[in-house]
Amino acid sequence: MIDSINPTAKTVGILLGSIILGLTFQWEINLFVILLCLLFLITSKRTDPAKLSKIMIPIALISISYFFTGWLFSSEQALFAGASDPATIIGGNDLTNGLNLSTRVLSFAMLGISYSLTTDSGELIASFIQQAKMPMKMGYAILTAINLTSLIHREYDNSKLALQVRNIPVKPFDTKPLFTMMVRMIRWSERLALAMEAKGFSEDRVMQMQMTIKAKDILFSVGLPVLIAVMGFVIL
Amino acid sequence: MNRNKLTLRDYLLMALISVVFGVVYLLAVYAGTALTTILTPMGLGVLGYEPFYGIWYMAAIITTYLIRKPLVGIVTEVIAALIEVLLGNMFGVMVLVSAFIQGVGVELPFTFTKYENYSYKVAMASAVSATVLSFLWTGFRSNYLAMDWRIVVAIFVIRLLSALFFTGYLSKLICDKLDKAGILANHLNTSEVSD
Repeated sequence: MIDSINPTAKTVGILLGSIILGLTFQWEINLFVILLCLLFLITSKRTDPAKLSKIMIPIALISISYFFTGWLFSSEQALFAGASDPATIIGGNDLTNGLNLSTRVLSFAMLGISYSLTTDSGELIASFIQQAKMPMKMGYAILTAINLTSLIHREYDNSKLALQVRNIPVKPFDTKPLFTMMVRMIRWSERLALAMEAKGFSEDRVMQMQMTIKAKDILFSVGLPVLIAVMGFVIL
Repeated sequence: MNRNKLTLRDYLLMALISVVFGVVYLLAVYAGTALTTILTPMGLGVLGYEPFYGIWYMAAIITTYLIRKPLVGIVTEVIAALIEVLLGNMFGVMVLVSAFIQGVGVELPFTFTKYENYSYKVAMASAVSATVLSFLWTGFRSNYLAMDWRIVVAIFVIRLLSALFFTGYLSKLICDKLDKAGILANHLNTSEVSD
């Protein structure tokens, strides 16, 4: 459903939608957004169910933690604001406050997941360069770093191992392997920049992937925030 | 102030350092999740990630120190966020906004010194401003108004302490070591790095 939306338009739509959602304080609108995002994810060919379930575990935990905080540590203002809510009649003000906070965090996360899991990295960078005027150097630096991610992870493990074989203990968040990595990254950036420029890389580079904005992209970037605003401020 | 444009090497350095810190962020996420799990039944789960919050500002302050050009902190945070999003971060596009705000927070004190002072004092000020701005943003996002004021104060204090340690102290320590090791192309004078 949202796979084919232009990534810049998708960014604008979901960003504005998230900000408008931030101005609403009802669990019903949050639930509506969660269901809408589930629809986006189910209909997307790019969603990997294994990855989705892996991401959902910490989100569920954060959401539950906000529920307990909202329930056990409500502010007086929140209790007053929730007095007319239908859920308050069943569970009381504290419970409604917990529900509001937990669904709020969950809805933001679902909007985020439906963006992250349905967007191709190459298309996103190409679209940002072409539509959002991102500097070519910045776009290609991001793609370079993404493609080197697994190598950087391995280098980080190697730098820890190099210390351990010398009988130097490495604790979590230790600065010693981090220092080694910083030195390596400074060297890598110099060599990579030289190599890329030697191959003719410049701001005038022509891109094979051409991204365009169509009517449905504009409809999405305007429609989603408007839908959330209507649901949050008019209907609910 | 170094007003030269950001080069390809600068962008690559920012992106590569962002990925390195991505590994550290992952460790922080695991630790934060474990702490959140322990604190949730007491209703204090929202504090779980706070002790590690300063780690999220480290990439920006380190690249600002290494490259010493305006906007480096903001660009680094945005690049780091984009990389996180493309690798499947759960908060997606909102991370871009958070990153921009954190970048502004880190960069602000350096702007006042015209990017000429990289002392502990400025690094600590950077940690404080990043904490304040990110606190206002997460306050809006997570609706702190609905929480007991004592929880909100605890969030701020823990985040500030974390930022002072990771951003103000640890990042500066790593950068000073890099400078001493002679790795940096533009070596700083003693007056620029000490109070």
